[in-house]
Amino acid sequence: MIRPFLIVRFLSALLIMIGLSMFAPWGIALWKSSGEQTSFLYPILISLSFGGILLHSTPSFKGQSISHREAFIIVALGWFFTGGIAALPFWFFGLLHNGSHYFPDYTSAYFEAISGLTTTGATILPSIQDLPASILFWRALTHWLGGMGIILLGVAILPFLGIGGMQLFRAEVPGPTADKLSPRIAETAKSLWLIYLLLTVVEILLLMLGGMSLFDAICHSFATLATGGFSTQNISIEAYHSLYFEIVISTFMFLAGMNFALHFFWLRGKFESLWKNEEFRFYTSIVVIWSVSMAVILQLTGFYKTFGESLRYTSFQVISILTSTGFSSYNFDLWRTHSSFATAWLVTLMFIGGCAGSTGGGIKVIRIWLLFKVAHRELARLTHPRAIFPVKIENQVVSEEILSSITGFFALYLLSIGIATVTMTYFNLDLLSALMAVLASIGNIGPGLAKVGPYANYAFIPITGKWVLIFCMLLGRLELYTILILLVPQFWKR
Amino acid sequence: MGHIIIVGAGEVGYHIALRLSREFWDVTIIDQDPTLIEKVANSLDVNTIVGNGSSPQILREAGIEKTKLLIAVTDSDETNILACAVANIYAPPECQKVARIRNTDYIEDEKLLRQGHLGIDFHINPERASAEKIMRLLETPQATNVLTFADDRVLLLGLQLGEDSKLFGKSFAELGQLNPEKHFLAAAMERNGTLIIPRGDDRLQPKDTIYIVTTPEDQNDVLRRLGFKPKPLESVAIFGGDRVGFFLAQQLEKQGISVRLIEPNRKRCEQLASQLHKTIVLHGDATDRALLEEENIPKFDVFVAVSDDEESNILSALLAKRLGAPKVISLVNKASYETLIRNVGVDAAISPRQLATSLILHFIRLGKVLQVDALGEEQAEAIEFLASKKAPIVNKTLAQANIPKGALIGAIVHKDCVTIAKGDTIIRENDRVIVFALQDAIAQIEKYFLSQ
Repeated sequence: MIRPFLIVRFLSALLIMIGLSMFAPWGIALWKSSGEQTSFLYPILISLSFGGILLHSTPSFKGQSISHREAFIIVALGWFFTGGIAALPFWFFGLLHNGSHYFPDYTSAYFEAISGLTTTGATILPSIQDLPASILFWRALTHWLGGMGIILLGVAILPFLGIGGMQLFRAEVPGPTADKLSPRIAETAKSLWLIYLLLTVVEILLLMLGGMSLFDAICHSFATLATGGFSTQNISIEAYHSLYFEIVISTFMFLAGMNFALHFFWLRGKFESLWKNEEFRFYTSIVVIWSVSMAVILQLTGFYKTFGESLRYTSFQVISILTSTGFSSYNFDLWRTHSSFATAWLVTLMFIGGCAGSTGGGIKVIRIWLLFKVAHRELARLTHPRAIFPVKIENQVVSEEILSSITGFFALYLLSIGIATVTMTYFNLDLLSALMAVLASIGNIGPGLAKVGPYANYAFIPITGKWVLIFCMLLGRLELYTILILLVPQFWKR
Repeated sequence: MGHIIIVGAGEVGYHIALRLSREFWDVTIIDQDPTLIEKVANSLDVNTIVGNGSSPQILREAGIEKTKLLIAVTDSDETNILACAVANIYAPPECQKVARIRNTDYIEDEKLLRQGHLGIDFHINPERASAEKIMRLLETPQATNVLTFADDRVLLLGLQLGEDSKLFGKSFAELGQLNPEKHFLAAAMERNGTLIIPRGDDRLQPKDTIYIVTTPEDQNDVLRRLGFKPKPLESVAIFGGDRVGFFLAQQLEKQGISVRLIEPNRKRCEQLASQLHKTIVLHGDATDRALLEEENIPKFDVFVAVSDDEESNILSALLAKRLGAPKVISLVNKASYETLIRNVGVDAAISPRQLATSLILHFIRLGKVLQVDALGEEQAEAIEFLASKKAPIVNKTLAQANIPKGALIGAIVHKDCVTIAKGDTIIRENDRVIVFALQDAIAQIEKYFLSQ
């Protein structure tokens, strides 16, 4: 049973929430009196009035439970709609305030908003610094709100739907687990949001301590914790040429790419729970191995003079790409022309992504780790045909259902990349740029290489191409199944 | 002698009844199965009752009010525990209660079996004891039997002579010459299933098993002198993933030994694979020759058959031996199988029933007797005594003590110092003494150690 009014009610609640959140950039616009306040005022009026009317005119469903199919529709439509509302300030800015250079059409505005909400960080803006503070803040805020949405999605909604990493997480952490942090999902989500908020505030303070302005510190911290990647600078973090900022930001990107429930433990001093967590160990190993290997390659090929300098840039880029943030402290597209080998290492990271239960995108570290284990098991089975080999995480057996869901996810992920890449080449993109645009979108990373490199942008891609990438961003963010199931005819039958 | 109730007439109950009735105790044995009771009634001089051994009424009928000892050894842990609890209420306060408990959830609980909540004074787990015994055997791969005494300070090793042993034709007096510093003592010998305390002119023959008393420190040196080459254990194949097999695999994989565990039940395989970490769990039957060859089982250092089905254990052990396994160990329960399979090539046979009997006897004799182990189908016992203050044997040399025929002093632990017995060794008060005695000599030798 699908109850349209129930879905409308949820969407109107989202509408109101987004409308309310626009008061913050509106306030900045009023305070700076830079003339673009109507770009926020109209969307606020539209979303609040429409949201209010819809909420009032639909019956209440209090005390009734939501069916699986309704939840799928709410999640998928919810993100689509929120993107549509969040795009309005950009669109009005383009229409009313000489912003047509930045946002020539609604598609561009929508691309930027969805890129923000899915914490991708791919931009269509050729020059960021020239935009008014309110618009820059709205970009950062879409990241931060999107990050909160992802945490809720990860903790509450996807496990309910039987997808995603969090039900793995149950088997993963011995002792108190995410769903045991609190018996009620709402309480768990609140606790995780509190950590999210706490880490954001700490990062803001640390960045200000290094001399960053409050505004830049807030925007960058929002983008870091959400693993988004929108910066207030054209050349991202490189603009500051500060080792201190790079260290602070890469540390917080690393934290944001971790399972948020793990923060519970180490913040309470239980550091051993980090090392017991196999996903965290694998995640940390990837960061260390990739950073060092790429640093060695780039130093040996003569790109950097010292190993220290080499490591400084590779480690930042590795953490940024792995966690799917997309900040850059160097135009790493330049590495490509110098050493394909080093670049290939970076590209592998675009597939992996953050940990389950983080704000990061990609396939997720835990899925990759389990895929390795499944592959290892298949090889071991050849030598011992009659042996029983369960796949285990922290000595707990992972059920065959979860394993097949993961291999299925991997297959669908690669298939989606393939189809989308072929589609993108239709829009006159070279193969590498097409693949990078798709990987950066579906992995919620943001920048790729070549034409969509860190200091380039997505403005040149035609409208249809942008919609393909928008679809990829949502696909990756909602863990494929949530979107793809809506395309299966059986879902709508009966 | 006093009154004893045994609940459960299975293998363990039967053998304890056998041993205790021989020692002139009044034994009443209770079991629900009339055929088991009939078998007991026909072969032993004991009182029998058919009924539920945890029922207060049946226990009263069995004379619970005057019993000195209740031994609950049915197959059900719960019945055993309840029988002890009932005895705790109705039996006189000095009555000791022994229960067989297999479920590790009960055993490993910190409070359940301690502090006398359930009235259980002593509990035994035959499977765990068997697994521990097999572990000791695996740690000494040359031995067919390993017993430890005095908190592991004294070892008794059973060693079967191989086809090419350099000891053939040697007399026990010559064996002593291999041992000028008295690091070991040849205490007993088993030939064709008969256990004897050897004299100096007895000569060794192929397939004889000799029992050697030594210390863990000297063990490797002694084995080398006797021509048994020490070899570190690297790989073990186990058949049967029940409690014994699981415990063994767990212990062995902890020591970094490569383990294969064969289990016929698919569900159990999955359980085992989820609980073990490095062991490779194989689904199949160890009597399947193709499986053994496919997994290269004959190349493993030891093959241990510990499934619940003892016939399969014996068959698979023999098959593995025939395919070339250097050492095979099998779990058996029927007393009649034990010597039989040793003669057809199984290197060691472990009997949970015999272990349980030993443990219970040990407990019953607790006091001046610290440990009892049955040897060679209960023909003899290895007993650890504590020498009482006024015991006849104290403050004499062994030569003066006039040890009865059929008994032999193996080692003396004085404070922390172990001495392998010699003619001029003197036993002091409170020494722990390890003694071997054939059945007929047990009662006699006991008197030497008890104060008058």
